[in-house]
Amino acid sequence: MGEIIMPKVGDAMTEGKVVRWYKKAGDAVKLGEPLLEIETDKVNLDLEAEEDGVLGDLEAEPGAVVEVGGRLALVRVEGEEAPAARPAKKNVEAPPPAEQQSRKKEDQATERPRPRAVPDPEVDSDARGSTPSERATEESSQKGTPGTGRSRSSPLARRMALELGVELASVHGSGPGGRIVASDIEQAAASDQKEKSASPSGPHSKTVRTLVTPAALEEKRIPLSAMRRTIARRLAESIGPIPHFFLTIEADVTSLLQLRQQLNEIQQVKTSVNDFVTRAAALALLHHPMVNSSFTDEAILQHGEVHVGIAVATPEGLITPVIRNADQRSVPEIAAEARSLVEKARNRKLKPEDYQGSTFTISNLGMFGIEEFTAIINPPNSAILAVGAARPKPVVDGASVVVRDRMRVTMSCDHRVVDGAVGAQYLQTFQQYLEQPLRLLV
Amino acid sequence: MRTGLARASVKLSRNARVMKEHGSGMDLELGTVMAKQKERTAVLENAEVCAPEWNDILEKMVLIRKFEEASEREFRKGNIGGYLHVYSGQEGIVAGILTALGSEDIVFAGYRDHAHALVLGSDPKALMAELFGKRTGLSKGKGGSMHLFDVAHGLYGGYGIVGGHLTLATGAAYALRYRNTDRVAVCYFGDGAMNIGPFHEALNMAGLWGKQGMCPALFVIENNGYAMGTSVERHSALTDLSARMRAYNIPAEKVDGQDVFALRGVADRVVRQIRETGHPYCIEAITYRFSGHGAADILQPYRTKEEVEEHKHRDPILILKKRMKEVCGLTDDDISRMEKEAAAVVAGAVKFATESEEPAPEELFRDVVSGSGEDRFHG
Amino acid sequence: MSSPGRERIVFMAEISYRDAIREALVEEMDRDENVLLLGEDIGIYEGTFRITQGMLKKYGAKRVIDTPIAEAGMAGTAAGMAMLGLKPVVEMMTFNFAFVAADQILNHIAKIRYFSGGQVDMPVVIRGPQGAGMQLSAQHSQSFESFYGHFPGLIVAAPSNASDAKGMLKSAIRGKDPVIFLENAALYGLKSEVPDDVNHLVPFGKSVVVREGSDVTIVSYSRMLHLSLAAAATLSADEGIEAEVIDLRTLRPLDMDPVFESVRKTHRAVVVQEQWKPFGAAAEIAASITETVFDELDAPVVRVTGEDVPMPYARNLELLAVPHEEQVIEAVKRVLYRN
Repeated sequence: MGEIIMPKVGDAMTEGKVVRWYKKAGDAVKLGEPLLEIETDKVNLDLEAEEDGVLGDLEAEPGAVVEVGGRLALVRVEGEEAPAARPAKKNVEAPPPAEQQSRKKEDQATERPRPRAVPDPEVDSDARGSTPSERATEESSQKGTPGTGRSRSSPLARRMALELGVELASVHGSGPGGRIVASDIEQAAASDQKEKSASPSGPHSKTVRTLVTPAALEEKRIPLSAMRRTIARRLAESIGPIPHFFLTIEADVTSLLQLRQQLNEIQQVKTSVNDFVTRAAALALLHHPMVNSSFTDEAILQHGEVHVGIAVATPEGLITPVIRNADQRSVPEIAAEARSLVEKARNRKLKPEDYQGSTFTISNLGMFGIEEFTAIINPPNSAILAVGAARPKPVVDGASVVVRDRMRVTMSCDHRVVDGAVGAQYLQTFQQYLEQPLRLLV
Repeated sequence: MRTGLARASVKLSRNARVMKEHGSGMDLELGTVMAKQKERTAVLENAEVCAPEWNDILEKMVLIRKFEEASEREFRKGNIGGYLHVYSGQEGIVAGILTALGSEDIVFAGYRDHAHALVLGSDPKALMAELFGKRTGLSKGKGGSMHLFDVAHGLYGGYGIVGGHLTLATGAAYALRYRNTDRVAVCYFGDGAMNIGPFHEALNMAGLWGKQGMCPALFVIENNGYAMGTSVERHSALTDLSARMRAYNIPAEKVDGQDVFALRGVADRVVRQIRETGHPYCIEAITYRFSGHGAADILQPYRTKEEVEEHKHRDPILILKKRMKEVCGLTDDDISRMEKEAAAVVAGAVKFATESEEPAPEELFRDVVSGSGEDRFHG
Repeated sequence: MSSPGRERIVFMAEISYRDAIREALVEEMDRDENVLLLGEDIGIYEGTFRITQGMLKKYGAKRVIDTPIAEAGMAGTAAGMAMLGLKPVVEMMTFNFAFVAADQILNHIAKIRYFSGGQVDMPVVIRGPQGAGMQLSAQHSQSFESFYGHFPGLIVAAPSNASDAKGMLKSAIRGKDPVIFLENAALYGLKSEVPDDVNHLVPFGKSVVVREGSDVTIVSYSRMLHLSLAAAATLSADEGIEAEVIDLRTLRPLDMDPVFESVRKTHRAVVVQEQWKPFGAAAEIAASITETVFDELDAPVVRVTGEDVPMPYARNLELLAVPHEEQVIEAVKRVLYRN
């Protein structure tokens, strides 16, 4: 028994059409005799009987499209039983609508989308603003006009806006065609920051947190990123060579004052509050090395050592002798060194190595009764601490009001190097050291 | 030996008319060859013809025919994809020549390459599985019909670019000598491959290297008269293809490709000679393909049905059977048993290929380069 | 001079790009007798760029094969040799001639391992110069990295200095895969330090940062790397712009990770290539950056390429057709919104 199937006669052929049958069911057929004509996308050809026999039922009518391999008829060799009817393989002759649909789906799944010949109005309208003429208009106007069209922004700017919580629509784009670029977001974020830091509720925590011992400092060169460079340039342009901003924090120094008193009772060299402040500032720098760095045109130079300058008023003016490696010295050592340096300063005995090379500076006007002030950064430092007088103040402690010794400290920061958050975090650490003064002695 | 090639008996049809106008030197060529060959064939003594080896050769040829018929059937059913080129009618060229090789010798072929694999000893199951694109195929389903590879049996590839592999065979032959072996490289190509640039570059280098004994290569022209649908007369300015080989300092001789005895006799001699001298040689086997160029070549407008039928009288299998019946007492029962066995092997191969699994998706990225085989662009 | 128990000291030698290639060939031929050379006029003539000087005398005609002028023949026979276990190195007098061998390289050498299901190795190295700049006009001044880089199965190397040239060529010869080794004739005389080590191997698919910077990433390779470095120096001196410069070294496989990492830092990228802009290597790199680190970009990736014309002969026109340092500087300023 032979099967007459729709043959694959072309390399890309998947189906063929029955044009006509030359024979009908029950006809005797001979080897090589044409049985039917089929049509493919390339040719029409006759299918011949491959053996002598009797043609069975015609399983595909003229006009039927049959997939390659699909059965068209059987040829029974004489003496053979008529076979049980079997559906043609994938015979798609006169397909019912549902089947047609599923077939269509299959095609869609396997076929790749064809290139669009006609512009799709929906897609095109979506891509508005990207036609050459419109682009030209937008570029020439040099402004993205919010409201009338979509504002352009770089991918980075969009991501930064999201991360920094900057409303993209409120930002003016400085790039071509009004494109909002990273520097625009940075600027917007910086002005937000300034507003926040200026508000009275600055970062301030009373919870005693454990301070993790920081890793050893290492000297490294942090290349100026484009962003950093732009901030530097723009802020400097607006408010002078060093773009300052100021952060104030108040610390409870009750314990510190008590500790100092105890220490002075057993130590020969008297320690001042400022000596504690110096050590606290130095230790806090280990936690926040960015505050312990210098801005250069090429890069931000993060220092590998902590050298704290102490502003000393002299008849000639202000000078800042340096307590080297202040982070590695005990409070009494700092006290001794400070005393000696102040002495020298007042006697004009300071040598350059005594006042050069600071990485951070402290200015203390507490002895003059100044409660709070701002200091000007001592270049190339990136920050300076302005320390006010410690004063007893009423403080709310749970349900009652108690009197505690409080001290206000304001840090001036070089915004090219120290961002608001960095400065705030530094002050928080500094505050924790002041409020847990035993840490300053160990 | 009788031939059934009298053109007069061929009815003129439209196609035949075309050919008459363009002329067909094939028959003339073959006539001369066969006259020359009579004596040569006689060289094979009857005793030799009856050696058990010839039984094997006939079995191989029957297997090839059955295999090719099955692959055409499976192509029609859609089980074999791509291009399919079968060897029916040309079996003698591989059976007559490749059986003259040693087990270490190597073979390069064009894309009509199933027969080469079968004669070299490839497993018909793995071969059919390759055509089906299955993981159990010779090349894990990654080459297909045109790129059969079975290095373990000496098959260094079927190649899909006409004439592109002649350089490979030439270089491989050089390497065999470079490594101080006496192995031989055989390179099969059709008459259609002789008009493409690399043919010239390869053969010139082969002839050149042969002078230093550095090119132990046997070039076999499978001259079936057509470059796809363009006859030799219409594609080669000089129809004496052997003469063109001699232009590259490569000795060449024409052999009746339907006469396995003749081929085997020549092959034994020239393979020995190549092995000894390291100089290339060419056999131009004049043959005929019974099927279309490829499975899609249904209409074959370049030749008539009559022409094809005429050549079927010179079916190399028929010729061998006849001779073995006459000389060695081969019986019809023997032949029928042989055919049944071959059919069973092929049916087993189809079953194996059908039931084999497709390659695993991971296979996609393997073998692109060595090692992990993953050579993908970023992104 | 190394004392026992100490690490082996590798001396550095300053040698030219040309000598680096030659040394790689000599060392590998000494190391493995399966390595052999094929090329036009590489023996008696000693090579048009003198890479193979003295080789014929040293290794004999069997290992240093003077071929006919037949690039397809050279590439194809080398492939056959490689399939049988040899390690042929083919010299293309210039890569412009390799178009003749395109079918052999792209349709055979690149694919045989794959369609054989991994049954054979294909350790063919095809090396030779490419690029413009010597008034060789239209047919002899082209660059081919994107042409070959398009095809899976090939490794495409384009070293910019002597050390990489030597180390990568040695890796190519010792490997099992076909390597298109694109040299640049204008670099042959360039001297730089190369480790004096017979096992100095530079791996494929490893891009390197050759100059650190924070403002912009410049991606390049081969001769254009030197142009990029010059531009970076000028930008630093004149504008205070610090460019990070990356040498891709291999076009396929393409190691983009250092590029992505750099763009995450600089947010801007300029790609510099000598070849024509359409469908070039720079297009691939720019697209890859956009696909992977889109959100890091503060400006579109800009390409600096040769002009889209056949190379003219006249010197002034030729100079106009190839990329210039000023164009790289312009591109950098563009992505920095500085102009």
